[in-house]
Amino acid sequence: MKVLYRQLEVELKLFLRNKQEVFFTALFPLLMMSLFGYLNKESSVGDVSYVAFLLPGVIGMSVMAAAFLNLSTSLVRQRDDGILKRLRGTPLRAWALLGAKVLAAGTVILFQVLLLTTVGILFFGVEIAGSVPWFLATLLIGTFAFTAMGLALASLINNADTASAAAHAIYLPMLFICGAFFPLDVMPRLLQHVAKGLPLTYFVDALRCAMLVGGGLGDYAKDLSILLGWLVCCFAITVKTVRWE
Amino acid sequence: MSVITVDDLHKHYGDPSAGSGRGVKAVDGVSFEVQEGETFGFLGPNGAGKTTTIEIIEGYRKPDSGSVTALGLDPRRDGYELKEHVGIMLQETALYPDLRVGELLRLFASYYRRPADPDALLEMIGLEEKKRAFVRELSGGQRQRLAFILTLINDPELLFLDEPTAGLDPQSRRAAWEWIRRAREEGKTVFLTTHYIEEAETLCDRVVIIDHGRIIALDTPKRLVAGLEAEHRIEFVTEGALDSARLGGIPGVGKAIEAGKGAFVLYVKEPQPVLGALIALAEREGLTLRDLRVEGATLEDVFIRLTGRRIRE
Repeated sequence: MKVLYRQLEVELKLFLRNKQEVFFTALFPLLMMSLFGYLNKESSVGDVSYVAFLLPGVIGMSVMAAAFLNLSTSLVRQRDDGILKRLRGTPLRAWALLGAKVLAAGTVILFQVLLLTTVGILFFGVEIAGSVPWFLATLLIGTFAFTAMGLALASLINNADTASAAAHAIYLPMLFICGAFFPLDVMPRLLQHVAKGLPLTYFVDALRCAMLVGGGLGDYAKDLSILLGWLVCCFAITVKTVRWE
Repeated sequence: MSVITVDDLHKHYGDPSAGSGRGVKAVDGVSFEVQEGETFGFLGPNGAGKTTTIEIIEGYRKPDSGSVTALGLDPRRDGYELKEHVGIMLQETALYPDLRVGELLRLFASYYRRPADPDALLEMIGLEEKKRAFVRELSGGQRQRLAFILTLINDPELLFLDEPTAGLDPQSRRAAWEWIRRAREEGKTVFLTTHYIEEAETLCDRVVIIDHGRIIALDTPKRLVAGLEAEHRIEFVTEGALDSARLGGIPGVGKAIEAGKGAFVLYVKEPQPVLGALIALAEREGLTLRDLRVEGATLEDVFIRLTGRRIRE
């Protein structure tokens, strides 16, 4: 436990010292929400305001940035630099290292959720009318699914620059296709089909339901089982292909 | 008591299905034992199988066949327990660049049940002033020193040092030798690899000479050199036609080797009569002898005698 705590502390320090990661993970979502929210503050989507629609989307973006983007790029970079190999020369357990990385991502995500929700409520008058338990369950499953995707990517690509490029090439289009910022039905038909194959679509859908509607198991079953499916598949890929050097 | 036991180790890289002719045999039937408290070195050229061997013992690589125990443990099966008691310095230093020196030491100390005092270690290598510096701000030599004390952070019984002074300037190298000697004096067993002759001669109680994945000699440095039965080496370069057979015919020459184009090495017990005969021969044939030198024989000569090549070409 002490090891996990110490490693978590280090992972968070490394995150805060990486200005690029801090900007894209911690500040960019807030900027996106403020900009899009300000420009469309009079609009609405269905029977909620546009900003209320946007908030869960931006939270989804933060989760993907912390759990998928940062995790995969930092893992590959550390493997490339030989740091993972050096750590294997100590009694540090693999689960403790990975656990610390996931906990660090989780800490950043929780901070983001609080920040974005507070700004949404205070500055944009978003009304939260959902279910806290369903929100937390969705957040947890989504975080693990994107973590697993990040691990799979890190296992499949061995070069740090390539991995970073690949992670961004997956992350950025997903943001725009998957209904994080705009409703799916304003998209061209083809992109709507593509979106149906991507996990962020279901994650954002479930987050939106949890923040704005509430509802019961029936409202989440499809979204969450698809996310769990991604989790299992990506985890299997990781187990098959994981490398330390 | 033996601390490391290696028996008939084999490891090859490349496609195993491609048949015995393909792929590279990195380690080809290596056996040896390392005794408690000794400094044991693997000396050989790059690609001889040193790193592969040390990394198999550390548990990083799985051998194709053969058995390995370190501190009575199986490095693959009991890896975590083994790592509690050993210090590992890899060939390439890799440390978190964005941590401060003090943070890095505290982090590594937290991995072990009985950590050593980080401040005392920093003081030993003269980096106590750098405690608040980021690792990325250190020079290459300072980073190497830091990597070295990280191997001592758990006060280990056994140290693995893979090319510990590669790329260091001579002064830093001497300092590193001093710390390795101190570790030995504290009773630690040291297993190191090197391609520096002087490093093997000054530090090691026993040396393995390895080439193409095979052990070609194993003894104390003194006895290996004494085994040449030639305490001196005469070296020179000449452009004219000369072959080692003719040089070997000079009375008093134990062995003559052409080590590179026109570069000859003669092993002799008594240099003086041989030098006279050599110069007489050169004058008779109209040859110019350049870079003529007489030196005491070293482990390099053991390697040359056994392989016909230099360790570093």
